[in-house]
Amino acid sequence: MADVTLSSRPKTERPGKQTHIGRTIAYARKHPVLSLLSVLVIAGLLWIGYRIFDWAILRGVFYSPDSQLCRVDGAGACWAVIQERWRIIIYGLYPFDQQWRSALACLLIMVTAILSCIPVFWRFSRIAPLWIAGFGGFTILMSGGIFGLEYIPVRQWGGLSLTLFVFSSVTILTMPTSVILVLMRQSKLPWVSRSVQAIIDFVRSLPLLVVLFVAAVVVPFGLPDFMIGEKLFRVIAGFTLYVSCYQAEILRGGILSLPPGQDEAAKALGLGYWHRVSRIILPQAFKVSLPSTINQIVIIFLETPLIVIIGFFEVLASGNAAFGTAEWGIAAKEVYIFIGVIFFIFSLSLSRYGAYLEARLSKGDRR
Amino acid sequence: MTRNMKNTLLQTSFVAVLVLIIAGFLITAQNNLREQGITSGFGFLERGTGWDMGFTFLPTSISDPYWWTLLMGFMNTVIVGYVAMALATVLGVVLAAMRISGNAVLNAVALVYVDIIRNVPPILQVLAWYAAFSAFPAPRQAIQLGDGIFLTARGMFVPALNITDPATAVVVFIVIAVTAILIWIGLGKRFMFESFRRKASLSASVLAAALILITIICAASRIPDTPLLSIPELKGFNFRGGMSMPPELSAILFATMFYGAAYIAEIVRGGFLSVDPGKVEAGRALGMSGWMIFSRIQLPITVQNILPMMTNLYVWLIKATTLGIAVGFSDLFAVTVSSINQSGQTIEFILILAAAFWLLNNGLVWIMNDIGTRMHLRQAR
Repeated sequence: MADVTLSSRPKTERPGKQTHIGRTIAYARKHPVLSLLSVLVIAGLLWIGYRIFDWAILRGVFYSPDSQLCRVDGAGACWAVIQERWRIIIYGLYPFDQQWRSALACLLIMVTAILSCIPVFWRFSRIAPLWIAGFGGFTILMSGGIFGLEYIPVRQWGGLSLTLFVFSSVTILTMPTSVILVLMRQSKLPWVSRSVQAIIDFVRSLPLLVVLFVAAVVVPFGLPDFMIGEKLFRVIAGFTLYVSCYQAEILRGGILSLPPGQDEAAKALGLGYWHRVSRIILPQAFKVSLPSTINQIVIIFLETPLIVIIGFFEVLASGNAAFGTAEWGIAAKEVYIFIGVIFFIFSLSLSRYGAYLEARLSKGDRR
Repeated sequence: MTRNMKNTLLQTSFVAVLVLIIAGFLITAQNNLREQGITSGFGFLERGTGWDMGFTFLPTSISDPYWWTLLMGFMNTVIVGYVAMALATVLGVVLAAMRISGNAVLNAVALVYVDIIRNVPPILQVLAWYAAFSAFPAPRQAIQLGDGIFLTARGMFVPALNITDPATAVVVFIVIAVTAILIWIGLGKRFMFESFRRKASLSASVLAAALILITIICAASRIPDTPLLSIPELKGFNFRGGMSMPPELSAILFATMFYGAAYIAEIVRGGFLSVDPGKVEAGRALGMSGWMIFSRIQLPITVQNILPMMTNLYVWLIKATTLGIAVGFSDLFAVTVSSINQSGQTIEFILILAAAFWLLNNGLVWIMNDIGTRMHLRQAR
């Protein structure tokens, strides 16, 4: 097949084998302006790269317990702030002698996340216990109160582990809530489907910050006292509602993209509603919408730091605290870069994994 | 019959539960607020706020009523949102062109940019831009760009018109709105059989007339005995004249613009690559030139492909301006939060905020859908 198309095209342009340099020269002849532009861009990048390298590495200060070396004329990046203050960035206000628990909890949730990327776990009967174990372990480690661990209230949680806690609880809770929402949206009963669509549209028209603010500040006014609960859990609930509305629309797209014959065939076989939904519709809809779902998870992760605005001591706030002293006030850039790199690594690996999955799935379809 | 009754019962109870939850919430909230001595209703909108709201496009003072303050917050959100959208679209299209140019260097630069921006939390980017704009030197050592632009830690100073009268702004806004509506109608379905040339020349003359009118209005209503253009100059410790863009405005504008551009680049690139190669080959077979193939085949199909995703992204960008609260930019959300803190009218302010965002989003969706139908119309002809 491939041979036919190749031989049917006249080969006038390439008389013989071309070296890499030869091709570059040919390209430069054909596109002189673009080539000049690329040379200029390369030169500019080299210059910027050198300036950054010089600032970060050559003139960088990696160790200076009292920040004096960072204040010397000509000193570059003050990485000493990370060296001295990393504990507050990562652990926040968590009690000092218990911080190993916070570290272990973060490690546990990361291992759980990595494990769930392996195809072996891609069945409901495997992935649900995995996440219940991972998340349960995380919560027990962080809050304590059993197994002889000291009890640490949610108010003292902070730093990276708080960010990971909010992120993973929202992600876990979103999956069932969005399924419930989309099933009600696709319901045959017009009033159920219409009112759920109205709720979804309303929530989607609000910015996430407004939803979080309402959950944190406004909702307590309208609830009876016994239902108010901890602020963190209200915020997680609001965050979950917001993401679920988006995820429900993603799943709906997946359901609509299935050929209607699937549902009709199942009906013809006499399968009941729950059977059709759980064995025929949802598994296929999930598969179709997997890339967008992973995209959505990346967005949850990147939006989690927003909780700093409604007063949580998550990683951005603890970063502010890290350079918030007279000693380290000069090192805001370095702390921001440090936090940015942490987020970048997590998020890039997740989105690359999503791209890999998408390629893998589309390959599977073609077969 | 029984099935019908069961369905009706299910639906009625579902809606009833929803209504009960919302009503219960509102009544409890009203009772709780009344205990704190706050009466419900919208009468408070006429009261003075008693606080200053930072940067606005029209003058404000601490004795302004709440409705004016909210309106100014809304204006900040709308202007920053739409300007960021326009700039992000331009930058995003340039980045997309770099990605599909076939030039390895340009492609790599755009790819690195997109990957970095899309994988760092937006709020961190806002904070980083704020830090960058606050790091400029004091006004006395300001960095000068060209003739009238000065970069200082107190903000960016740019030339502006010598106009302080809010009435002028309202009149100019009305002129712009009327012009936009006239052109919008003129290009619409009703006049679809007019020739394109005629429509273009009519639109151009309406636009020119509007520009002349605006210039005359501005010139007439400027502060007496001053030049039309006011250029910032250093007086004492700060700049006088011109307009100052405080660091928080620049931070939110730049962050939204750069973040949006990264996403737009990927959307445009995806849309362009999904144009059916058969159509391009058909154009080539008909002897169309490269430019013709691009402008008559690839571009229109790309625009149609990407419109739904661009709508979502624009809605997202408008909502992203709420991040300004992190750096103290008084957008609608920030103004609402301060108003709630000051007046305690929690429920009313949240309702206004929700209504405003609902309006903003649906307006945007409506405009984009209208563009979409017009493009389909042209394709069908």
